[in-house]
Amino acid sequence: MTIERRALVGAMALGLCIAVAGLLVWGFAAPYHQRLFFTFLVNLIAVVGLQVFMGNSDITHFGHVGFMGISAYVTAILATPVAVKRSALATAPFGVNTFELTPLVAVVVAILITLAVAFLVGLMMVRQAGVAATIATLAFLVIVHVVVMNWVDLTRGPRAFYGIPPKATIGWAVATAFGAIVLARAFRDSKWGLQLRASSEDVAAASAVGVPIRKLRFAAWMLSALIMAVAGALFTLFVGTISPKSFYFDLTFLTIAMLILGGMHSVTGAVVGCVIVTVGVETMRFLESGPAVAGMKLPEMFGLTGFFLGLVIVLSMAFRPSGLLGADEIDDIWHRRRLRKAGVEVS
Amino acid sequence: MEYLLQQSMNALSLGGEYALLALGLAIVFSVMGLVNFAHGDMITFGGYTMFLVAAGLGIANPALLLPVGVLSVVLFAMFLEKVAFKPVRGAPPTTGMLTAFGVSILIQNVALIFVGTRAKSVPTMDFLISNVTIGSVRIPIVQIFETAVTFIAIALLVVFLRRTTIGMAMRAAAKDVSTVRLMGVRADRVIATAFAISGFLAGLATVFVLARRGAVDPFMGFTPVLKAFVAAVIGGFGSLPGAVIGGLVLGVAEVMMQVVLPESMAGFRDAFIFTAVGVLLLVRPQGILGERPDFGEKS
Amino acid sequence: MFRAENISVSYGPIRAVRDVSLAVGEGEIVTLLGPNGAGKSSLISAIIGLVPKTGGRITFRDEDVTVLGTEALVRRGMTVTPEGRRVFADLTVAENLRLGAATRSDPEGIAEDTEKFLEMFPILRKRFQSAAKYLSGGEQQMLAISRSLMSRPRLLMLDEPSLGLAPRIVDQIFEFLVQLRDWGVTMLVVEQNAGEVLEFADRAYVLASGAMQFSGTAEDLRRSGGVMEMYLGLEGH
Repeated sequence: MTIERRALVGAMALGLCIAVAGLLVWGFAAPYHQRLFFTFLVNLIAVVGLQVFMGNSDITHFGHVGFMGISAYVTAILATPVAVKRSALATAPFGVNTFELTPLVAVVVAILITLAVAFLVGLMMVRQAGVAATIATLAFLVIVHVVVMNWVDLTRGPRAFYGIPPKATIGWAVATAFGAIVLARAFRDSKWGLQLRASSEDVAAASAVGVPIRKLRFAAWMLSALIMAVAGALFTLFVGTISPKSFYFDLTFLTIAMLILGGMHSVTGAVVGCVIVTVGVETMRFLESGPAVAGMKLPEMFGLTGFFLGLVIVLSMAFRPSGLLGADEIDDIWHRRRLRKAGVEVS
Repeated sequence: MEYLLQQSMNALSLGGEYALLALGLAIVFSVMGLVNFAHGDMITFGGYTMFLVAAGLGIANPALLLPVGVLSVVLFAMFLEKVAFKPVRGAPPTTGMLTAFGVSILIQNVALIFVGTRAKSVPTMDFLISNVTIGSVRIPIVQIFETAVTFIAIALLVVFLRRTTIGMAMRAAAKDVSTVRLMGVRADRVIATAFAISGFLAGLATVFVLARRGAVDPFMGFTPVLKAFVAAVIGGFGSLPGAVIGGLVLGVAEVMMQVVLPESMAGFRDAFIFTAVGVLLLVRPQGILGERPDFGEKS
Repeated sequence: MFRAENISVSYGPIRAVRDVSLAVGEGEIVTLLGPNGAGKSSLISAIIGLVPKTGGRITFRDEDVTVLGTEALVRRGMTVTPEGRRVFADLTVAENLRLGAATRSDPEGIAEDTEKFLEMFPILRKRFQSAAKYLSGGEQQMLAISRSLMSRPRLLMLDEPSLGLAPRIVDQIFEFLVQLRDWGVTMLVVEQNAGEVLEFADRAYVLASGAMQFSGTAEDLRRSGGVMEMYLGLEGH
């Protein structure tokens, strides 16, 4: 099996797991759990989007959620019915409170606008050395947040933006997650992805052999932005109400912790990290509220969730910096098992 | 004319604060390649310590409170280094940076869990809030204080780096730690000193941040550290003089932007500044004093 | 005075140094020779603690120093002038020498020694306040050796002092080493440039592929045609 085909099979397998889970949830789960699962899927897509850039270029990316935010707000602004916008966005510019688009068209426009922004930011970012690039992405996140918070006429500022038509279904979310995983694997194991990953280890050597590092980084950046944009649009159309806080540091910490725990160099790692951290966070949220456990009333400890995330990051860095899966994909693990069974020595 | 003077003072004191913050970051980065995201949270720690001392022990005398605040940040910085950063010392820069990021989140949430979200006011800074009148210009004392302290601190730092053995060792370690060890200078000592200095600078900044805000809350360190990073990048990340220049440039830019922007757009100030920085980096990616990383990027 | 026994160094699966032993007596100049990649630098790095060793014992002036770290060893009187000089490029000549004396606390002694080296190498006096990066290769080597000597070490290990230098400069450096021996400094000189070193060294070791191939007096090595040819590319005489 050539590497590309193996990658596709691995991606399909992951996608299938998610599809099966989706089916079970859709068929049997209570509405509360369905919401949880949807949020899980959105986070999953976001982590995969983050992985596409961070995992291949080895540059820490703090701005991914900013793309989600842009796409989410554009979708919300365009798709919300005029009736709602007339009062909610009474003073909106560009006449956005006089028309509405079908959700699908709104999503397409949102993605295009997000990609345009990503293009401009990417031009500047790829020319930076690693640390400066990371800081640039952080500044980008803050810029997006500041703009959304202050352009009150367009976004309602810090107040909730409500009335977004809840058109997204679990089916769509599963399909999108599936697609994101396949895209991420396809890029990672393509010639470009391989070159980018190799050159991240030794920039000097790579330049010397003529690898166009900047172009490759840019490609990863744009693909990542695309996936993030889709995640943002999907989230908006499910949850019906958004605010700037949804796309700022809480989500950033969450997705980064997920990626680091699972292993940032692998798409499977991103998925695994997402699953584990989601379980952990839900547990923490339960404990935070001071529930009664085994007859004892625990104290309210707001901040436990954040603490948990910080701990995940610090402990991962101290003990397993390459994450639980390292750079292995699910098909790498199978492949090694097969070789071992066949009696071949595997390192 | 008075307006110009007042705004210049504004820019100078703000720029000084940013320079102090950026220098603290640059020192740690230059000596051990660590991007210390937790730098801002050291400020939070200092703030809470001062709050506890002021409110808990009833000590309101600034002559006592300020040194306590600064000292607490120095000790906290050295503690952080020993406990959180030493284990990842040899690791690639990304690992260190993410560790610092995780530590930052931990500190913020510990503050959240134990002290709560509500900001606690620190009531002691009265003498700093008053103004002094020179001719027809009214200048807040805190700004004079800030500017003076910044320049003195920078001067002391320069003397330290140039004249003392450990300072020379720190400058040498920026490029070649092993050979510094061959001089019999313990790497631990060099790094601890770098953190102590970083903590000292952050401690000084804490005082000014508090004077500006008047209250402590778990996330008060975030904006200062973000501005510090941006300032350091403007000046050329890792360069000590670059950090100072970057800080001053950022301070000037912020004050200018505040003056120029109409009232309705005041909230967008930071967005404009960061975008301007982005454009600067498009044209000159290495910052003002940085070296062009053609290959072998330090990060 | 110095004894290293059964030292091994591995970089992951690669065994760079395999079970090597050597000794240096007080006042001697001992040279460690061998072709490129023989493991000489790895051995020195391991001895001084910059690189971990797997197994072995190190005795220095009757003390077992096996577990000590680099800084502690330097404080005990061992030091290395590293391969490629490794002067502190952005620091001045003065600051380089000052750092060399970092373990000392006697300002008059430090000033005396500094003066001694400036006498010995007038070019260093001329460039005293310039950054070390502006010195030529040979000048940097003089600075590096002087810097190592500022701590008044009992044992000085030099890793390829002649590397990349013009023959005339190499002669100067080696003359200096001989003078150092007169001043009572014990030295272990790692070299690829076998011919010249053997002229003034007392004893010699030859390392190849990580293992010790020869150990004896410089005289014996010069005479043993086989070893000379095989490992050092020279003809014995």
